[in-house]
Amino acid sequence: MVYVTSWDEFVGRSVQLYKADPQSTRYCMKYRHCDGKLVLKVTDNKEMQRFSFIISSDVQLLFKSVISLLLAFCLGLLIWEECLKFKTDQAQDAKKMEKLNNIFFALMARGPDVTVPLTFAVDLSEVTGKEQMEAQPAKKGRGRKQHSDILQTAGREAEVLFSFGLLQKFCGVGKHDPMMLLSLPPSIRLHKK
Amino acid sequence: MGLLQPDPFLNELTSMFERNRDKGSVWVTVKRSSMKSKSQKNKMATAGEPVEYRCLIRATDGKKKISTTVGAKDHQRFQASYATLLKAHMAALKKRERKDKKKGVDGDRKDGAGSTKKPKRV
Repeated sequence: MVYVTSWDEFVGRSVQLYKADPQSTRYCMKYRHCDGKLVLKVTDNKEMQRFSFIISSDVQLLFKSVISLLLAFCLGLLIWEECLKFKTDQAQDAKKMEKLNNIFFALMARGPDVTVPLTFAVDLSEVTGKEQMEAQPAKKGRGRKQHSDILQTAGREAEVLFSFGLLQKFCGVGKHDPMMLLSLPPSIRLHKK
Repeated sequence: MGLLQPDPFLNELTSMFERNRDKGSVWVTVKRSSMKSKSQKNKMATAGEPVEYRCLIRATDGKKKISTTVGAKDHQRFQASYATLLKAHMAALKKRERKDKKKGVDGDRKDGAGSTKKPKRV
């Protein structure tokens, strides 16, 4: 069991593992409220015979164990099991885990070809997240909700968010109705006057 | 119990988290699945039909097992509700203790460099 200490490394490696074998990779989560512990595991279940040093006086057994060791070594090169684990007791990691959940849901429901933002440098702009996603129709289309839906489901969150970050600073709100959003700034100016 | 629709599954998961507050764990596993047996899949592949994949979500508390499948269309809605659920229940995790860390650092500075530096607070 490999406990990964860096979150970004854990995310990168687990997505890589999933893309290598989408059919057998699973993402598991264990939460214990009484201990305040959260453990995440991503594994692909591939078999890897374990190395075991058998101390035996029986020569035949010893011979067999040597053979199995060699076999395991050879197989190990071909069939590599990976199990990535991440444990935490921090609330901030729960938020990061939610983003990872989103990544995995998208990958698993839609297919391994979906491009998802992996680096958390990009995802930091998503911290204001859902508001930006919902309000993005305002930037891209006046009432063109179909277009915005496509954008929402596509993996191009980064460029939308960067352009949208500016819009949000300008408008200061993230609301559902795109028309309302567009009409806000002029009315604010009027009030100030 | 076993296989449920996404909404009842979320309700059951909520009650699972509630029941296991003081004792026990909750395991949630997410995996891609077509929900078909191997023979069916082979048949579909040879027939040229695209095999539709869904996201299989399983949850257990050690005693009870529940599961649900989510397709590409409803996964965003499910993911939003699931995220809300988790946020509500994972309250036992530690908050970032920045203030304490700062105090500790300042305390060390005072102790370590007391002779050379004047402490900020008199």
